Amino acid sequence: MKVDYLTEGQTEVDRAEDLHDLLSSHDGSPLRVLGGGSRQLELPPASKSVRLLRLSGMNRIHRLEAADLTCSVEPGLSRYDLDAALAEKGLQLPCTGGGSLGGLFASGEPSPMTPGAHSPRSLLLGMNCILAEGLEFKSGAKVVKNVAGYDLQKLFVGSRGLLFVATMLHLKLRPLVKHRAHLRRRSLEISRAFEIFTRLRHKPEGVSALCIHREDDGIALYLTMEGRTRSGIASLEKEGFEECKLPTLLGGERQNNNLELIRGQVRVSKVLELLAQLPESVAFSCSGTGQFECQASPDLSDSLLRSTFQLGGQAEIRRAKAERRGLSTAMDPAHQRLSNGLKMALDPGGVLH
Amino acid sequence: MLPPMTAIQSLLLAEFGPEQALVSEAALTAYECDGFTIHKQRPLAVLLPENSEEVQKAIRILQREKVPFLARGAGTCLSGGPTAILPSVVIETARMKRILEVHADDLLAVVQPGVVNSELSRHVAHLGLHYAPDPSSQAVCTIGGNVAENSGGPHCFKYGMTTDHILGLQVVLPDGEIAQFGSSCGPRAHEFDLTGLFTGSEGTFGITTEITVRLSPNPESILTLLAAFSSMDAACESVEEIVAAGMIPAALEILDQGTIRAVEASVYRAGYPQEAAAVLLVELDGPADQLAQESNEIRSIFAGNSALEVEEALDQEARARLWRGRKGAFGAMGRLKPDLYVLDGVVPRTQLVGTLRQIAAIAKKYELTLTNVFHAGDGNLHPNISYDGRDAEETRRVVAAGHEILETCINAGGSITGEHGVGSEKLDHMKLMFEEADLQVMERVRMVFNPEELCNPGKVIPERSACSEVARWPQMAERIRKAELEADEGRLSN
Repeated sequence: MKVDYLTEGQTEVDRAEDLHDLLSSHDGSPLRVLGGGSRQLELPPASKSVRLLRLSGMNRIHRLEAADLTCSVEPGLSRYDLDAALAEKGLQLPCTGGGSLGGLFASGEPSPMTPGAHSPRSLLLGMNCILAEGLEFKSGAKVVKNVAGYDLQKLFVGSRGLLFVATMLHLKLRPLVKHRAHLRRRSLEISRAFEIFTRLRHKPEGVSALCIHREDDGIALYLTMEGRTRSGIASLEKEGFEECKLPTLLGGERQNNNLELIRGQVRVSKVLELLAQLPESVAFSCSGTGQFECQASPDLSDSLLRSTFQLGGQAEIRRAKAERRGLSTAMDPAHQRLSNGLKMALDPGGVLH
Repeated sequence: MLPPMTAIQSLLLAEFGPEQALVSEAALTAYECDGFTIHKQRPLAVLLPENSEEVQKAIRILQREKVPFLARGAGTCLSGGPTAILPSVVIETARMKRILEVHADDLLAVVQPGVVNSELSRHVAHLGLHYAPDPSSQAVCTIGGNVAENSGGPHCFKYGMTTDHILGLQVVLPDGEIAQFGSSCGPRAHEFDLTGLFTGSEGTFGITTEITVRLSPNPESILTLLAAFSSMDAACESVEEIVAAGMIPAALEILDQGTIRAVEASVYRAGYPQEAAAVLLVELDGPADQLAQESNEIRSIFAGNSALEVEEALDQEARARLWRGRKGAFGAMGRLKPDLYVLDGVVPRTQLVGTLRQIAAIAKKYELTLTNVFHAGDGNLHPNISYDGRDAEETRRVVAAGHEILETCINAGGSITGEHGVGSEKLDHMKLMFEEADLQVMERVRMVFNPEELCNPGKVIPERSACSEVARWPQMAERIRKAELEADEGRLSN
């Protein structure tokens, strides 16, 4: 795996016991945790030279309770392998996102593509974890409903491995849907596209992913319909939607190396305002929850961060040269103070980077 | 060392005036407990702020004076969440009841914490929207309280808990600073999810003053079915088969015979068949053609489990009637005995039948009146023990049975609470579920938010020195001591 920041080799761990032994006797030098490493070039570089701690060998499924719609897996398990095991039982993890399961949750990406869909944070029921100092602990539960204790697993989602290391994830599952179709409608005029976009966002059933792309010949709408009948799919086909590949935002596509990828989120009602501030040549896509991605030059990226902030949203540069990755809109000062406090409380030695 | 009580009262009266600071014994009595009536603690004073700034002012004064404080909504919590462990000042948010913003296009609303749960859905009904979390107390409970406890409800099987519908929070931290977590778009991808962490923290991280919630579009169609069974096993088996068939109904609720009969004898009468050992309420929502297909499949499952009868709600009135019995079940229990202890254990759905049998055996062992109404889809049990709180000996048996029931849930691989929270009720049960290291890490996190532990002190994390429930519930301890003395006197006289 290639990274563009300073590293001092890597250690691979296959079992939670080995991870515990390693951390308990660790000398306090900086570590960066990764699963398969597929998101390393989307994360801010470590602030100092780090040893990579790879968990891709921790890839077992420990428990799969089909009737209870739950399972427990190690963080290095790949999404591909989990999906295959679940499909055999007629189940699915109902969110998008690939790579390792630990990476999927730690990255906090992606948010759901439509308002009614599950986000990764709603699917993580509990977890076993270990602090950098070697203290093992657990949070949440294996059952689908639990409010005992603080939801520390929520702190793992989007933490980028900065607070503690996962050794087991307890997940909520759903039955595989009987019918699914990916549909698109292209060459739409912008106001018409947003009219349909808004209508579909308010359609509570069946639309499991929705996004809008600015393309060379206008606006295109992509969506995934699923359910137990084909009726919803048929009615959209009558409206001019045609079958296509799985809809994704720009990040799922090949990137122009001279441009930066910015990912952010604004209220859907502000997307048109945001779009109006970007030159027409700039690639832009937005999901049904207002998560957007844009490929832009560094100057334009900076301007987009400012505009997003002014519109009450948030954004971050995700793919760029190392020194620019992680630049983002400002955080609430109290939130920042508490975040620093949590880092100090859970990783006082500053080991996890 | 606390200042003398009168000094605190005088200070708060001077700062907030008699309209916003309650200090009389009569007024304070109303705040000595929530729906968990076993634990009572009369507050030092009650403050009634109307906005974030007034909450901030109250907290700054109490912080300066080192007086413990806690928030309270409508007081419908069933675990003692808003009942203090130590003498404290209650900051009631019921007057903060404005719906500040509704953005239909963005499917969100911004509300103050005192907004009543069902009031928000009523307010946005004309837009074809609703607020999905629906605790049984939704007609009176507040959204601020729902956030504190991460409340659930019958429809969370499909739609998730409160935390899944909270996009952002404005909170006043225990040091008086106002913080903003999340945003109108939800938790921020590149920040720690403090919205998720705060939701369900039972008021120990601060007091919520504004809540940005996700609104959900109303489903295209709704279909409600009620099936009666001659055994609880058959009702639970039907639930398992429905889920195994790949269906996720909006709700799957079971009431046992004791509950059915209490409901049918009450103002919540819903027409449930009283000879049934259990009724299963199934609600489906979605496109009409899908519902028709699922309804047929479910009827086949009911037939396979020898359902005594099946009723389909054909209109909104019939649907409301079927739900009235379920939502009013806890209220109906008032007919059985003066007090009700509502438990809240969770087990894997596949363990429902075995766990219910064990619970029945525990009730028999302790000679208690126990009924069950529960969220079968989630495996979230609500064993309800009806008792007379004036009878200390019976109360002791209630507490012991409750402990054993939650232990049974843990042994089945479940949880001590699915939606009511730990509160003061389950503090010691936490040690059944979590080990010392788990609690230590929780404590580190609490210290970040609430370093002086002035904000709802003593909650969520149990003290790990030798302590017992009776030590935490002084009034109950007194009753039990009295009962033991009486028992001793009885033995001596014999």
